[in-house]
Amino acid sequence: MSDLLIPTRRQLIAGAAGLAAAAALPLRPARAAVPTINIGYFIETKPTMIAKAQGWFEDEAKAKINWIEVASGAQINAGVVGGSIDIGIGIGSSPTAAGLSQGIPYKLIAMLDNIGAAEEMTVRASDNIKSPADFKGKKLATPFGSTSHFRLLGFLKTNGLSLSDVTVLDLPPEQIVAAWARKDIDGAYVWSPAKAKLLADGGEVYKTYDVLDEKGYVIADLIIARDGFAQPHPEAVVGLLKAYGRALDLYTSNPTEASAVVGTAAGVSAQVAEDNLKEYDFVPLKEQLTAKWLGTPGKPGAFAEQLQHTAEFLVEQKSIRKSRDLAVYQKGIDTQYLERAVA
Amino acid sequence: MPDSGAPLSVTPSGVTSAPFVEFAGVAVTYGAGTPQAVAALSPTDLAFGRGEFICIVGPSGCGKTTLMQTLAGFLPPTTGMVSVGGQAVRGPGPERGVVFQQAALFPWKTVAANAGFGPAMRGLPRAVQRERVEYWLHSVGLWEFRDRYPYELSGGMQQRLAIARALANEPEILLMDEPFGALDALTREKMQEALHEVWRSRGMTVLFITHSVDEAVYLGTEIVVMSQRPGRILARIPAPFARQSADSEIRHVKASADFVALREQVLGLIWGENAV
Amino acid sequence: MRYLRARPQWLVTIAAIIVVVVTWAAATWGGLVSDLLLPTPDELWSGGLDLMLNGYKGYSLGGHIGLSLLRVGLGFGIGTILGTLLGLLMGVSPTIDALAAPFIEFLRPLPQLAYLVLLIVWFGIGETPKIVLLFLAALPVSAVAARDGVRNVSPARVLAAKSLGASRAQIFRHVVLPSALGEIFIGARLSIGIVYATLIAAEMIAGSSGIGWLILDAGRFLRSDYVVAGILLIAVMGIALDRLLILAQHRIVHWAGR
Repeated sequence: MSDLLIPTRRQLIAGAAGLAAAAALPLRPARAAVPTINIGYFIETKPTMIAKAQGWFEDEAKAKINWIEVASGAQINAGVVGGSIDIGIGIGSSPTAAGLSQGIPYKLIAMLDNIGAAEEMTVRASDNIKSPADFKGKKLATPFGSTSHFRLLGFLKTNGLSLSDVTVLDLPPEQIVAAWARKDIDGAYVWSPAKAKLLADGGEVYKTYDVLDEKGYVIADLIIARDGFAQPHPEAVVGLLKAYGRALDLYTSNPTEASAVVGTAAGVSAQVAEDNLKEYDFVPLKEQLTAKWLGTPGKPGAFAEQLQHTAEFLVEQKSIRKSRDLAVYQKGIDTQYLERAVA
Repeated sequence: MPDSGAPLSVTPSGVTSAPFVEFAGVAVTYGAGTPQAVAALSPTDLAFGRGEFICIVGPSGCGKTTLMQTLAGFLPPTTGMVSVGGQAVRGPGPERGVVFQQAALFPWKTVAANAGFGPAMRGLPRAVQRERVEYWLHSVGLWEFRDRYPYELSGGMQQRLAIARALANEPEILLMDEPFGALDALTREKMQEALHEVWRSRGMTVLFITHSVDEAVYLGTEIVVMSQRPGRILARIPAPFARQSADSEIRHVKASADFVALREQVLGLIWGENAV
Repeated sequence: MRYLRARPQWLVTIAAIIVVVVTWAAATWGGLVSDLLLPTPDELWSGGLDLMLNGYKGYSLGGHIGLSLLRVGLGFGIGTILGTLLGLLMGVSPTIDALAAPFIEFLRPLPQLAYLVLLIVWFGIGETPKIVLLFLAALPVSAVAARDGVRNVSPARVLAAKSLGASRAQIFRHVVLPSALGEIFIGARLSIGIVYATLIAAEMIAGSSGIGWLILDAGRFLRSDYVVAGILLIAVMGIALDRLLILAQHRIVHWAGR
């Protein structure tokens, strides 16, 4: 048996190697040609949806795009680890901090927005919740693993509340709305349109973001690029950011027209889209390159510290094993593409 | 002595009392009224008195079991009527105990609970239940096994338990459908002897179906020979051996010239019919 | 080859486990597989130890296990008892069978995730929808098993009981019910498997507790040490539950298969 098998196997290996070499040869000059880009994205009311709807991402990147709708930043992280997602648009700062701490091979290449007041605690007006102590014994819902979850836990921690004082439930946004309507929950930390629905249905804002932002619980929505994709295809990455820049410009110059496009793409009315868009602080691309945010190549901005603080908090929450030195998060931000996109 | 000179004549059983069990024009057709209707039993008249041991023999599928099931109340006759003591049979009842070819015991109950099933279901006083279980388990030699389960018994023991279960209910009529058919020859002979003893001492009425002519001639006070399907009664032959002295050994009885002659006569009837 | 065949089977089992463990250790320690995909043996050990000593996000490990077992126990218990009762009625009465069968047949092959959202809308986000979900997973299997058990009762035993003077109720109690017990137990084992598999879906509902939720939540941040420790735990619990049922089956339906 083995006498027969070994030459066969050798032939096979030789054959396979030959095939690989033959296949690699014509591929070499084509290396500049960008393969289909796999982009993980959320359906949300953001200017990115304009660029997607208008086909600007394809135009500027000069590539075909395979759009993969995700439901959480965790799915983008898993997709990058598995190699099935090249670019993640709209991933939150907490999953990004987790991913960089865990050594997921990607870089933060740009921001979409500083979330600010867009994600905020909503409580039942009738419950008369005015101080942190009033939260004791209440049931709060938030999508676990999200930036909202991170903020909510930060709120509890900074006010000396524990998980035995407050029940925190894991619900996706649409189920938060249902649970609110059934009066199963007393409050929720979530974004719009769910947040807007709660406010319209007997809810009121309990402001937490201003204090939390000061205490290092800044949250943001980001764009990440997988190393294995961005390094061989820098032009495509720059093109994608240019496309986003065009969309952001349109939103800034003509919010009404932009809202209509976003509404159609996200499946909501233009009015709802406009209201949602207003809640976010979309940081202009040039401003992202300042020390306050991402900084420039070689001069990392303050956002790296936010990422590290986020990671440290996630370690406390047992969500990740360990956080890293600041240098890891500084290296995790790669602004070279953004710099070229705004040039 | 049997009336060997008139093999084909249908004779009364020799008991003078009024009939206790009576089949009047009983016929059974399966699927009556449909194109697939199968006649299992031709209209049959058969009557016998209290205390008789009636053995029914005949080829396979001749309707022996069908006839018995109408008396057990498991199967309503298509035409005709079955009565016991002048009362029409309308369903199964505890006055008619049944022993099947397969023991059909309750495997989730102990030997004692199986034997006492009838008295317990009928709500007899507990003392009576205990007494009957003890008596009948002793009678069939299973008293030491009273706390075991049926699956721990051999085939012969299971069949003895089935008989004890039927008898502990003290039925007026015992219906037995090839009860020893699945047993080996030696066990079978012992069981015949045991049944014979019980019948002699309790004096109940028995309707006994068997393939074994030997068994029928030994146990029966009368042998009913049935034809092939649709079954009908070919002959009724009185047999004397069941009522002979109790202490005669089974092997001696079966070896006697009279026994052999009667057995040959019955076999001749069955074979003669089949040769036609 | 011959001397290999002479080895007892458990040696083969142990050898297979060793091969898998060694391959895993080599692949993870050797850096062939990222610890995001699979923890190294020492990470798994320290992760498991950490879960045992410090619990996970608000509950001790025992608390998570206890809550999961409580949900499985209630869902399986109520579902199997009511399902069996319904199945027995269906087996006895063709009318009840005709009434209930379409719903049972509809429910049986339905993936539980399909009606998860409805359960949240109907029953909210507390323990009720979780237990209802598990209950609905257990019910149809038990009902079908009990009904078939009743239908498969030996006609000879029923006739024997009738001629011994048993009433309809007595026949049900002393013949039909014990006779169906074997199939009821087979149904129960099937149903606990389904209930157990549904547990993760149940704990997806507004979770923050339970071993199924622990696995899901740890997976969100690719904490493969907790995920694998949770999977090992849930597997051992599943095997233990099945063994417990087999033990009960052998004790109660001791005559089955003999």
